[in-house]
Formats: sequence, C-alpha cells, structure tokens
Amino acid sequence: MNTIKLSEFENTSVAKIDINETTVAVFKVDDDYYAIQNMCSHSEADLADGEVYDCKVECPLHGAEFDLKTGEALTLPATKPVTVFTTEIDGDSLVIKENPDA
Amino acid sequence: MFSKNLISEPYNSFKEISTKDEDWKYTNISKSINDFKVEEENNDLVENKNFDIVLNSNKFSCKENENFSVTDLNDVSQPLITEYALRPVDRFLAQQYQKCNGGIIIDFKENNQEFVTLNLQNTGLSIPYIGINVEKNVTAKLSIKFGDSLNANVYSIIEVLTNNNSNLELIVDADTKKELDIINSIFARVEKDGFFNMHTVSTGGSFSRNRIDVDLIGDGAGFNIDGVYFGEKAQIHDNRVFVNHIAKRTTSNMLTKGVLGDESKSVFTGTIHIGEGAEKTESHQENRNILLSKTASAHSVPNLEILCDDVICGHGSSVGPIEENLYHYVMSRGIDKTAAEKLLIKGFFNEVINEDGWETISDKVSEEIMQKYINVLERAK
Amino acid sequence: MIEPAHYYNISMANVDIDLGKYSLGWSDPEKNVFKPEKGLNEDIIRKMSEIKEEPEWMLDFRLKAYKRFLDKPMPDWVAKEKLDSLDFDDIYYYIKPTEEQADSWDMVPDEIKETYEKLGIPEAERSYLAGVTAQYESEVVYHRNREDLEKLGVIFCDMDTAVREYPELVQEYFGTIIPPGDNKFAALNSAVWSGGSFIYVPKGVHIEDPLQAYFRINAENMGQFERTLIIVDEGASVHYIEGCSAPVYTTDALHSAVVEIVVKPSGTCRYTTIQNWSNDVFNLVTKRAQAFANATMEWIDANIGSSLTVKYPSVYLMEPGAHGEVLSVAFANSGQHQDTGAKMVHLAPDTTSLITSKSISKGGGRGAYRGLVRVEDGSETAKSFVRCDALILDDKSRSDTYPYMEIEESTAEIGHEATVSKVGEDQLFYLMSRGLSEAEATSMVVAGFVEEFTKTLPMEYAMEFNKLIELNMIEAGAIG
Repeated sequence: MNTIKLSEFENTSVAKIDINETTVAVFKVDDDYYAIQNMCSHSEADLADGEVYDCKVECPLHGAEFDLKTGEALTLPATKPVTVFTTEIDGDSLVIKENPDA
Repeated sequence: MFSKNLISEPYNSFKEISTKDEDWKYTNISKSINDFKVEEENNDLVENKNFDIVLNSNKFSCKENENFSVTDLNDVSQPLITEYALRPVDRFLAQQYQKCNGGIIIDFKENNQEFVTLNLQNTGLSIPYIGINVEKNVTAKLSIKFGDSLNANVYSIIEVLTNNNSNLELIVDADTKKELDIINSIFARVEKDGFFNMHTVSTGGSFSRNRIDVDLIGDGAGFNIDGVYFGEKAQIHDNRVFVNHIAKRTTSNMLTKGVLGDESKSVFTGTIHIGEGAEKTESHQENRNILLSKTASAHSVPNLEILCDDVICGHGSSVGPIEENLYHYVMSRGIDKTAAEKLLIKGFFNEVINEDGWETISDKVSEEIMQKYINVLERAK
Repeated sequence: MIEPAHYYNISMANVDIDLGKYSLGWSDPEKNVFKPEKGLNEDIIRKMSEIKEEPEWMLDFRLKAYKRFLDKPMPDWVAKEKLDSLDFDDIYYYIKPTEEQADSWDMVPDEIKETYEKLGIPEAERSYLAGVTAQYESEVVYHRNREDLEKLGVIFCDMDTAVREYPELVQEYFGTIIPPGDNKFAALNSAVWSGGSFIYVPKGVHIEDPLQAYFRINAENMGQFERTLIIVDEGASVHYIEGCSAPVYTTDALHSAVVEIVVKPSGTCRYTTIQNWSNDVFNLVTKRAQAFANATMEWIDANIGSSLTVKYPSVYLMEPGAHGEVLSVAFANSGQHQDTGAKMVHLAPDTTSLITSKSISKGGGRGAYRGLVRVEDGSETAKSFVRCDALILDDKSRSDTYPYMEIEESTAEIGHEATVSKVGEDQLFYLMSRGLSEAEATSMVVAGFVEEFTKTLPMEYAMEFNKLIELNMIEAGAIG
C-alpha cells in the first residue's frame, strides 16, 4: 500500500516511500502534505535531503528550487519539473498516489 | 595462479563504484559490479574445432602450433604486467584480479600470417585472464571471440606485451546474441618500435565495455585502434581508451564509429596523455556517431593531457544524423529511402571495416550490422 | 622591446613598491572608512546588510547562502593543491571606502581618482566609450549615467543601488539563474556580494556603445565578490565589457564573482571580460545566462594572469532559435593555472551553440579547457560545434582538454575538434629572418593565434590586450 502513518511525521517533516519503482519524497509543511519524485530532475540528488521553505524545496546538490505543489522548476540549473503525487489523509495514514493529470 | 602477495589491498577496501565516478559515468550497471561472484568453478570445456584455442576461465584446449605456445595460468605466479594487479584503479579491477580463477598466457615466438582464433565460453559469470606476449621482432595476429559460446556475463582481463620491434594485431569481437554484460579490462605495454593494432567489434551483449590502457614506453612505439559498434534495444556500447605517451616519437591513432538505434547508448571516454619528454609524439583520435532513433544517445568525453610542446595532437568527435544531402544524392538515383539509408550506413562503416586486418571478419560484421539495422527498422513500425 | 611604463603613462616616482615585471601592480595607502576584521561570520553579514540599507529579503538570502557555503565541500576535481591552500579566514570580506556614492567625477576622493587615472579612466571618459561604472574596494564609488541611456529607459547602476531602487525587477531574477546552492563559491558570493553592475535594457532598445566597468582588489587579503545581473528585454541589445587588474601581493587574494544574465526573445547580449589578475589572485567565477526564443548570448572571455582561474561561462538555450557562443582565450604563465571553458545546454529545437577556446601555456603554466555540450531529447535539429586549440610554448608547460558531450537527440548535429601544437619552426624562422627577435616573432604568432578573439574587442581594449600578451611573452626568460 502507498501509505505512511501520520505519526511518522511527529519528529520529522520529510519521509520517503517507493511507488511503482519511483522513490517519492513526502514533505509536511505546516498542516499540509506534498509528495514529489525524490530524484532531482537535474542531477542524481535526493530532494528529500533538501531544505524546504515557502512551499518550495531546494535541491541539496546545486540549489535548484522546485515548487512543492506543481513540481515546477523555479530556478536553474533545473529546467524540467519533477513528477507530483497526490496526498490524501485516510484516518491515521497518508495515502500517496500517482497523479492522474500528470 | 596469481600470488596472493601481488594484490595490494582486499577489494572491499576500495570505495564502492557509482555513476558519479568518472570512469563509470553514463553506465547503468554500477550496482552489479561492486561485489560479484564467479560461478565458473568446475565445468567442462566444450570442444570447438573452428577455433585454435578454446577457453573457459580455468580450462582450455589448443591446437598444435609451432608459432606460439600456451601456458596455463595456474602454472605462473604473476600476470604479464604487474602494475595493474598491484595498484588496481578501482574496486572493479581489484575484484577482477582477486577473483580471477584461471586463464592462459599466449607466447608468440614466430611470425604468423593467419589470425590465431580464440573462443571464450562459460556457463556462469567468469573472469578469464588472457596474457599475450609477443617476442622481439615477431609479428603476431590474434582474434578473440565473445560469441555464442558465452552463456553468462564475462569480465575478462587481457594483458598485452609487445616487445622491441614486435607487432600484434588483435581483434576483440563481441557479437553474442545473448543479453550479457561483457566488460573487458585490456592493458598493453608497447616497447621500443613495437606496434599494437586493435580492431574492436561491439554488436552484441546488453552492456559491452572495453577499458583499454596503453603505455607507449619505448621510443617509436605505436598504437592503433579502430572499431565499430551498433546499438539496438537498450544496449550500451562503452569504450574507455587511455593512451599514455611516455617515450619519444610514439604514435597513436584511433577511429571508432557507431550507429545507435532504439534506446541504445554509446559512451566514449578517453584520455591521451602525453608526458614530459615525449617529444615528437603524434596522436589522432576520432569518434563518430549516428543516432538513428529518437531515444538513442551518445556521450563522448575525449580528454587530452599534454605536458610536452613538441607534439602534434588532435581529436575530433561528432554525433548526428546522416547528412540530408547524402540521402538526396543516393535517392536521386532512383533508390528508396530505406535502401538509401542502408547504403549510407554501410558506407559509414566501410571506412573502418575495409581496412587491413579486417579481412577475416569484415563480411560477417557487415551482415550483422545490416541485420541489426533491419531489426531497428522493424521495431520502429 | 616594449616599455610598459611609457605605454600606460604612469609616473613611477610615487610608487615605492618594486613592481617586478608587472606594470599595473601598485597599491594605495589604505584610507578606508570601515574596515572589519578578517574572516566571516553571521554578524559581519548582518552589519554589511545594515550599512547597505538592504531590504529584509536580501538579508535572508545572504544568511541562507552563508549556510550553504559552510555546508558545501571544496571541489576536488580541479587544482586541488591550490584550492587547499585557500584560507577563508584570512580574507577581508567587506570594506566601504567612502561615505556615499559620487555622482560626478569631481566628488570622487583624490586617492581613488589617482587609482583610476593610473588605469586610464579619464581618457575613456573623453572618448566615445562612456558610461563607466567603476568599483574600488568592493564598493561602487563613482558612477555617471549617460543622459541618453536614461532617456532610453536603460537602467545601468551598481547592484547595491538596484536592490534598493528597483526591488521588484531585481527580486524576480536575482538568484534564479545561479541559486546560492549551486556551488561553494556561488554560495560565498551570495552571502557577501558587494558591488557589481545591474543593467536593464527595455524592449527594442539597442545600445550602440559598450557599457563598461573596471574594478580592482587593493587591500591586502581583500576578496572581491561583485554580483552582476543583466536583463535584456525582448528585441533589445547590449554589449557589456569588464576589464580589471590587481596589484602584486604575496598573500592570496580571492575574486569570486557571480554573473546572471537573462536574454528575452530576440534579444542580444555580449559580455566581454578581459581579466588581468596578478599572480596571487584566485579567480573563481560562476557565469550563467538564459537565452529565450531567437535570442543570442555571447560570452567573450580573456583570462590572463591569476594563480588560479576557474570559470565556465554557460548558456541555457531555453526556446527554439536561441543561440549561445563562447569565445575564450586563456594564457597561463609560470605558476598559473587556467581551468576555463564553457557549458551549453540545449533544451529546445533549432538551438545552436558555438564554443571556441584558445589556450596558451608558457613557462610551466597550465591551461585547461573544460566544457560541456548537453543536448536534451527533443532539441530537434540542434547544432553545436566546439573548437579547442592549444599552443604549448615550451616543454615545462601543460595543456589539458576535458570536453564532455552528452547527446540525447538523434537529429542534432554535434561536432568537436581539438588540436594541440607548438609554434611552428618555419613560422618563427620566417619572421626572424625579417629582423624580429625570437620573443617578438613568437609574440606575433601568438597574436595571430588569438586574433579571432582580439577582433571582437573595441580598439582600446584590443591594443591593451595585445600589449598584455606581448608583456607575457617577454617575461620569464625570453631572448631579445
């Protein structure tokens, strides 16, 4: 199942989960959850290790910023967006699914 | 066998290989090479009269011949060239030397006009060692086949020593129809006025890689490599060529050409290193790629490191489709596009396979290439 | 025999430092208003931002960048030994030489005027090359906008002023082309940047004459961290030139600049740099441009001097028809290491790029070309050609070429050629038989080798550049 227990976010604001061979990084920002592909679209780096602010995540390798809601690349050197996944709270878990609009 | 004392450090003290390493950039197999197991311990050799020598990693058979002799690796205590075993450059090489379980050393004592043919076979992952020693003033020819007798991955070590004024022509032909990984670590030392001439064919396997390190240590030593590759499906054809010009008046020439179809990929990385004092070096390198399909790709990094001023050195590299005007030229003679493309691809490769030294395999290679081209066309429909 | 002093019209009487063979090496006795201690910490950054009267977002940007700088490791793939010798705690990061920015030449303090006179700025004032923004000790001191530029709506000022007076424009682009996390030196610059130019060219405006800047490092152990942002709006064009020099010191000086450029559809931008740093300077620069549909971006770069220069001007070709060019000349003399090149990233169909690199190594110097051409899948009919030529002048010197080509588009045409050679004996023989000394003859051959570059320069620069080459040829054991 593509779920993460909400309790896992008690001491951290980021978690990773594999969905169909893609590793997905899930971020908790205030009371919202965002899920995007973990691999930066520019180089082999884990976005899960990046800093998050203003609903953006900064890739730890070259500093490119991505919008957590749309996956859009906001600065160079990234030029391609990252895949966005949907998040939904179901009881005490967070369900992550592939985005049908993508 | 290799003396255990020869190996400097256990392989797992080397850092794990990843695609971030320069030597393994652009590949897709870094996970499977950090710790592999040889599975070819006790199996039987399958005889094959079409070849002069048949080898699985620890057994071989050889036809009678007075021009060369073959020694079992179990009867020698160290490899032909010790540096690479003593100081392997990375974890993969360290494992090759440490896990190698057999092989042969071929000693060429007299000239041979015809190619001596060697066929490699296995049933599980094998690491055969092939040492080639060419005595002074001898001209030798050897052709090594990585073909249908291989049933599993093979990571061979090939060491070449061309002594003073000797000449070795070596064909490395990887045309297996199976989806195997063929990774060859090839080392050569060329002595004074020696000449090492290599022809490589890479049409088979799923990951086919030659890492070739040549040290031109004697004045007047020379190295030539020409090769062809054709990628289909998700094949990766990877060539890493390092030429080290150490002595004076040494030469090196390289011409590799490839066509990539489907999602295949070619990688070429090389360094021509011309050391201080390597006066009057002449070195030329050329790598040309044609991308046939939208999802094919080519990566090329031909490096130069020059520490001597009295040299002539150049390289050229290109990636692209077949030029439009060439199509027009051929089609204006009433030939349809597919036939024209076939002709142009044939012509593209002829520059290499019509050269001296290719006679014994040029027809076969030409046919293989054409068949692969047709396969790519079929899949594109 | 060239007489450097006569060429530059310097009176040598006032100078008490032995210049050796470097004609532009001298320093003024320091007369600075605020001189913090060496080294860097958050307090120094806050103080700097306060003195500059910066908005909150810029202070946040700096502090975030400082964290990135501390986290990132030193690059280990280039000039490791030299970089290891760099001591970040042994550098001044900010000095403000005067209380406020001068608006006319008369207001500039005398010492600073003298420095500029030595650099020849008053002459440039009189000539058609006007519109100079000059930088001294990390701060723009003198600035004079040409009236015609103002009339066209062109903004050309120092970066500090731009942050205060054009905040929306600056904030839209600042840090989006080179984010602070890009590399360690971009992070450092993002934390402590000071000075540099801001240029905005409105739609359809073509600026005929080049805009220029000069700057120098003066105080012992002074770092230079200018930040430049150029925005060329649709259909507009501009040519910007920077040329700089530094005095001779034995301790390291660090120059770590960041240049970000956006060229909008059908715009054209040419950025020319002639860098002539003295032997102790570490010159580590990040320069990147984004070119949109049918836009053209040209980097023209000459690197002479410095102990180590690491610089790869890049162009990201974002939309169809975009064109990027880098024309680079590097001259590595004794003890110098130039590791320069270019990066072209093709992200759209019908994009083109051209890289021409000329490298000269002499007296044990080491020149290297390091470049990348990346063509992404979908960049149909993209074309790129790279040409790297290297001239090695003696057997102590070294030339390297590291060209990366990553091609994922089957219809793209990509070519690369490189040659390495020495000066031909017959060329030398011919010139010497006409009365030139060996040094003069070699100098002529080298000038011919870099001619492609020199002919892009406005005349004064071309002359200065040729003189600089000659100076370098004649130094270090030449005959004649």
